[in-house]
Amino acid sequence: MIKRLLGSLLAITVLSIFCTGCWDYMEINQMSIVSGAAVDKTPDGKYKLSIEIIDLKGGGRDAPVHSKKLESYGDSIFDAIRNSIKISAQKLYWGHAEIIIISKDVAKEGILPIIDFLSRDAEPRLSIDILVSNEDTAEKLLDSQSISTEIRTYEINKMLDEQKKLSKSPKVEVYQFINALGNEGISAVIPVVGLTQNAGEATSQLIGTAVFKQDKLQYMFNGDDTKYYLFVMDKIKGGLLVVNKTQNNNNAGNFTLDIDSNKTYVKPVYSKGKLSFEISIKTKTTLGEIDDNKIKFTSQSEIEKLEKQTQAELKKNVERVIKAVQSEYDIDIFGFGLKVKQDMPELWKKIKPDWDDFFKNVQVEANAEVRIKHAGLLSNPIMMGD
Amino acid sequence: MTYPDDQSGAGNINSSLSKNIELFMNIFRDEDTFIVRNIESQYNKSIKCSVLFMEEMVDTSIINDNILRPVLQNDSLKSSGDTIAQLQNMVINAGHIHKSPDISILTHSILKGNTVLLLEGSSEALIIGSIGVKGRAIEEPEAEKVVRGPREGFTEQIMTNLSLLRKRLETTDLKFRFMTVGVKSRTRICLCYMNSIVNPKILKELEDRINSIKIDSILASGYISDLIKDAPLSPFRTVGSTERPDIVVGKILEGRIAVIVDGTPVALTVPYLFLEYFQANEDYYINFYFSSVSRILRILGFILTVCVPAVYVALMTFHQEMIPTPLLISISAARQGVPFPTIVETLLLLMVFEILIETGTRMPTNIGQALSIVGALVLGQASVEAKIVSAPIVIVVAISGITSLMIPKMQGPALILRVVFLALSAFMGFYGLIFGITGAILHLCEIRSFGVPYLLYLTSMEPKDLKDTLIRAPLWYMNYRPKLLSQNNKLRQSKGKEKK
Repeated sequence: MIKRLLGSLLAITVLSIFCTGCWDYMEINQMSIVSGAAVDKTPDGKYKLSIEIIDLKGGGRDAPVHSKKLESYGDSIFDAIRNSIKISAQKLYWGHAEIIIISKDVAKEGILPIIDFLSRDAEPRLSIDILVSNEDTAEKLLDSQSISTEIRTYEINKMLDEQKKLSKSPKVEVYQFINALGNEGISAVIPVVGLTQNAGEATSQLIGTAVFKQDKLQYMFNGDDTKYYLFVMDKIKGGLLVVNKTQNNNNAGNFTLDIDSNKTYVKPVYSKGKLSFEISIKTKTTLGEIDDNKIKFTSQSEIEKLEKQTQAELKKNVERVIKAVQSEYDIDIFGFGLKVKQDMPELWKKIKPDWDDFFKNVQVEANAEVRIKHAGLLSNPIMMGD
Repeated sequence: MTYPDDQSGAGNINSSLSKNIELFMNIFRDEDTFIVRNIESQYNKSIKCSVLFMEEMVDTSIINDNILRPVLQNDSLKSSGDTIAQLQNMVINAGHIHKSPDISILTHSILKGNTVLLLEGSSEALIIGSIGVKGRAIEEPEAEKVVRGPREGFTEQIMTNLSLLRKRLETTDLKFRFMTVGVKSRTRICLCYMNSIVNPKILKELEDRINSIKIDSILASGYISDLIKDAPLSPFRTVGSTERPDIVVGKILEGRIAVIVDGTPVALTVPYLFLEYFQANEDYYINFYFSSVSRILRILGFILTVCVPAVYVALMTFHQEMIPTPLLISISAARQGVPFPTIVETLLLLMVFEILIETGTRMPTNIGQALSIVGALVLGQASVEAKIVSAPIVIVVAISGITSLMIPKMQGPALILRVVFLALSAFMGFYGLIFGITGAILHLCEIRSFGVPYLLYLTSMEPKDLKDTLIRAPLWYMNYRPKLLSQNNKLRQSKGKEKK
């Protein structure tokens, strides 16, 4: 009995050694570490992959690590990646790739093959960020000058990570894109990256949001509108609210609020056969800067004045952005349909076929509640004598 | 007990002095330090005796002053009656004296350094204690130094060692039981235990095991430990060893049995638990916060020393995606141009490290500096600059090496585990490493030391049992002795209020 038990235990142990997934002994100096890639298409319809790999030729001693660009062509994405062996001799390692930049042309044709490869292959992570290039080729972005590190794509990735302090660009990882693609009642968006001039040299910057209908690029909007889009999506983690004097007729000057935290609730309301949405935005902020020395933070009424102005401004902008999306493009990037599906599944079944028409005309009302928690290090304004 | 090649003779002596002397001269033939001194009383010429001893083993002043002079100068000795009893009781001033007719016993007494007095007409001889063997003074053991705590260490003299124990435990409860092991060496060993605390089953088992030893000599306590230990093939030790009397007393008070072996400054303690690797005597002498921290560090050190090379190889060769990107880049850059695979590199450097340790242990201390220069500069820095090995592997091996020195007694087992884990992770990555760790834990769970589970208390869920494990609870909180070791007498101290 005990022998049979031991025997079966041994068999299980030995067998389970061979029942593992894919594993292989691979030395790290025998592979090229990919940091990111840009996807373009040649005029004859082939994919052109510009892959940024980390250049370890110098041995990494006493010098910053540089990157190199590898250009490779193929009939499919995977084909193009494998074809890189023809020129680089080393297998590419995608485990540490951070971003994929897709050119406008490829994005308009559909990015399904790229998403498919990234999620099917074992090496690339599902947390790779995808971006759309605003330039004519995505490759140009890899050639631009980097500022904080020598590796271009890692810098773009870092820019996306730090967006939580700015909120002018969404951050979309592959799995999030796939989720948005698969869900009913929401369309996927992707951040847009373009070139700008900095100290005389071209460098990349995040410039807004690209909107997809299924996997095809439809249109883009800018960074300021992106902020209000993020307000609706409840994705605001930080950023500034600048309220302009010219838009107010009372005596308060320009002031800037730093967002500490934000919570947005989107609620579908169905009454009398009419669907509408109520958006309530609750924001806590800090006064960051003000062009007026008459406002005392110790005075509750004056602070309330500032809060009211901000609320009106926020409400106006959010409604403006929603209206624009509804009337001009008619693509539900806010996930209003998804909200209906979650909250009122019966109604969703009825209106699903005509959701595009519904979305175009649906009434949306935004309500903002902005609190100024404190005024930084100054509770009294700076006094001006003569 | 007589053995085929035992020349100590059998049977009893007879009453003829000259025949007896002849007998012993025969037993100790070709033995130049064997002295026979014939004397007779100044006052009673009919009293003739002979004093037999080994020159190198005795204290000659005891023989001169306490044996020869009283016999020579005593004027009341009568040749009629029981002369030998008169000598024993009224003449010779020695603390240790008894009669025996057995040739074998007499021979061994002489070999031990006692003096044998043969008397004309008596079929018994006197054995008089005159041992005068010189030994080392009591010093602090080199291998087990403490900052705060007693500095005394055992010596090679069993009686000195026993005195070090007895003076710490002035109680009749402390028992010393002698046994003799070794056909040729006839080494005296002593079992020390607290009669009221010890588990009699463990004591019986230990006695049986020691009695079944049939070896020609015991040169060090390591012989005994190897011959009586449980799980003889395991790299882990199941018999404890220490050179410090305070540790032995602590263990005895927990219900363990100490074995002191004549000729070795290292005492053995049984049963031995896995936890004892991580317990140091100083833990109990300093503040419990600090001793808990250093105990946790020791356990962490053990885990690091066995796992770090294996984890490094697994990460570098199988699971590159688990390394933070900047680290991957810098390690990858450091490995450019290095000719060997990671696993070969690791094994190579680990071997070099073991060689350095081995050299350091055996060589004279005054050339230690040369070794550290060669070790650190030539093997460390130069080999990295020459691109024979990569820099990270030097760090990995150094961490593994330094942490292995945290628990000197663990070095052997740690070395074996390290190499096994390394081989497994070079084969199968983390998957293999997990296999290795599981195997090691199963092995540890399986071991018993004198019937006590090796992982006792480490597997316990009861807070009461965990007071002296990962942490060292304050002494006022540890009211009970370890359970399985001391079932008869569990209370270590009565709790302040409820006095017994």
